[in-house]
Amino acid sequence: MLVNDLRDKAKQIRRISLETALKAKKGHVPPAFSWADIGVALYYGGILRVRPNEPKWPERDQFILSKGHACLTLYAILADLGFFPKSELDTFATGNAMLAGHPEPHIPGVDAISGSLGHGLGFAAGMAMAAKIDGRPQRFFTVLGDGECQEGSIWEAAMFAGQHKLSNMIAILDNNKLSATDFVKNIVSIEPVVDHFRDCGWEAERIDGHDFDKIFAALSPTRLDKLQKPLMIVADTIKGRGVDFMENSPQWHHQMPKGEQIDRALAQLS
Amino acid sequence: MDFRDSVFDAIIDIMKVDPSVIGLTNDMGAMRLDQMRKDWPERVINIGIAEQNMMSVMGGLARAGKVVFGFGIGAHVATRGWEQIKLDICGLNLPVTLVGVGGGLAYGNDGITHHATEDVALMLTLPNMAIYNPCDPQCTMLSIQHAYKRRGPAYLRLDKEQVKEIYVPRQDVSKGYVIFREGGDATLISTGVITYKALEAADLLATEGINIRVADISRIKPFDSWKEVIGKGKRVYTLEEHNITNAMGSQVAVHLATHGGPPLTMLGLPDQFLEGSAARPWAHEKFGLTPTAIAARIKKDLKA
Repeated sequence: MLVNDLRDKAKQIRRISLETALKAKKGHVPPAFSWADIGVALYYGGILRVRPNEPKWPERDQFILSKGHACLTLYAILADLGFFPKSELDTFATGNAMLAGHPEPHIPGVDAISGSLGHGLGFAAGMAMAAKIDGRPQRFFTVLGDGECQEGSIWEAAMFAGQHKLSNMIAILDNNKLSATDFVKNIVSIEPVVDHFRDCGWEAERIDGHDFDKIFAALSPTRLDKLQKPLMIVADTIKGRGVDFMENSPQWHHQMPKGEQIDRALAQLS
Repeated sequence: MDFRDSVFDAIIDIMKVDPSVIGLTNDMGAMRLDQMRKDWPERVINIGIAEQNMMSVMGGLARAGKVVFGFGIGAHVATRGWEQIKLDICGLNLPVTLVGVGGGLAYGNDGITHHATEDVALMLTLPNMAIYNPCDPQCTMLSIQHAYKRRGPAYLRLDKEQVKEIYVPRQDVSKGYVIFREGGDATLISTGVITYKALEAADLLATEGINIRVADISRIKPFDSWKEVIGKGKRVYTLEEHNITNAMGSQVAVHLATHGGPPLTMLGLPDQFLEGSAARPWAHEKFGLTPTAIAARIKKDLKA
């Protein structure tokens, strides 16, 4: 897919995510929007080696959305790619639907339980270690939140992955600067987070998480093939990206748009 | 043989035939663990002092096809990463056996940081989890083998005492209990090394013409044989070195409340922190868990 097509796809994924949340009258829309470009790059840009018609393909790369509350983007992508029927989105978070408010592995394309923050990196490290022991060429991708990096378990996992040079582990920090109630820097700052990961033995760099060229450069096949350490991409993003009144606002975490806001949001995602 | 050696011998036997087995510890030392590391350097991981990550990594390893045995002090590994045990291991029903050294007051004189007197309660409430509480090294080996064959999440509460074994090689532990003594006056259901106190109490009572049944529960969960274990005793007693509010005794209480049966008395530790040194002999004396106290209690109840 060309970059312009990917931008359109990301807009479409945001729109599907919003429509899914509106039907359910619940969901974390702004945290889903901040990593939508990253998700589209991973799934449509040829970075993740997965097969939608064979979700359990043994040689697949595995993806863990550690900030599981942002699952609307993941569900929209998986449905759009055909991991499961799009009709599943219509029942998101209702009754005994397949799609809950946080990801679970009974969902085709989901490999871990996530949504309680701070689990994904350690779980990915275990899977990555098993693949290393067995000499399997799989890669293990996680998307973390910046507020999530306040969890001590993230740093236990970061040190462990660095110590064992788990070069089949790639983490992307969706650094949208906002937590549930306030800016992360006003609560407990995680900066300088690139240095923190480097100090834990990771290769780490900061990019613009909404620039597809930068995402592809950071996750190029050549780079991933040559990795000697786990890789952390700190992707500077904007929470609520794509809908102006949601962007970069502490008021918008799991709030749902109402009335005119709905029309305005959908118009901006068309 | 001691408890710790029996665990590692059982795991080593499995590792010899199953290359997917991985051992993992939070920097806990043991002679046989060193040997394991020497024989299979890539299959023994020291995770460091990081129990949350320990549980997540064990889950990840198992999710990727490994069968995992983790090893650490019970007071820490059963509690510090409990949510990781819940979600990353039990939530996916993965083959991870967590061995918690020092169940109950095995580290009693080390203070409340090292008392594992709520570990069974924490594990009881997790779906898919099995809980083993072997009373001797032989039963420990059998429990490890059972956990391996079960291929699911397991917690094994490991003791440190030197005991004379009452289980025999290849004994059937599939039901999770063994009746070690028969008697119709009462039933005493015990779990862990305190079963030895139960058997001594039964000996004392026998000298006075009171005959009780003594059952040892080696697997507290899953367990569906309470009716068979209780038998025909006129009273039922449970005995365990655990906070009495929610452990094996509570399981028996639920069974009796649901299905009916004789009166129940739960013997164990009170719902309080045992501050300062709480060495086992002291605690058993204070809370009525010595053979003499147990026998006296049963005798008094039966004569009432």
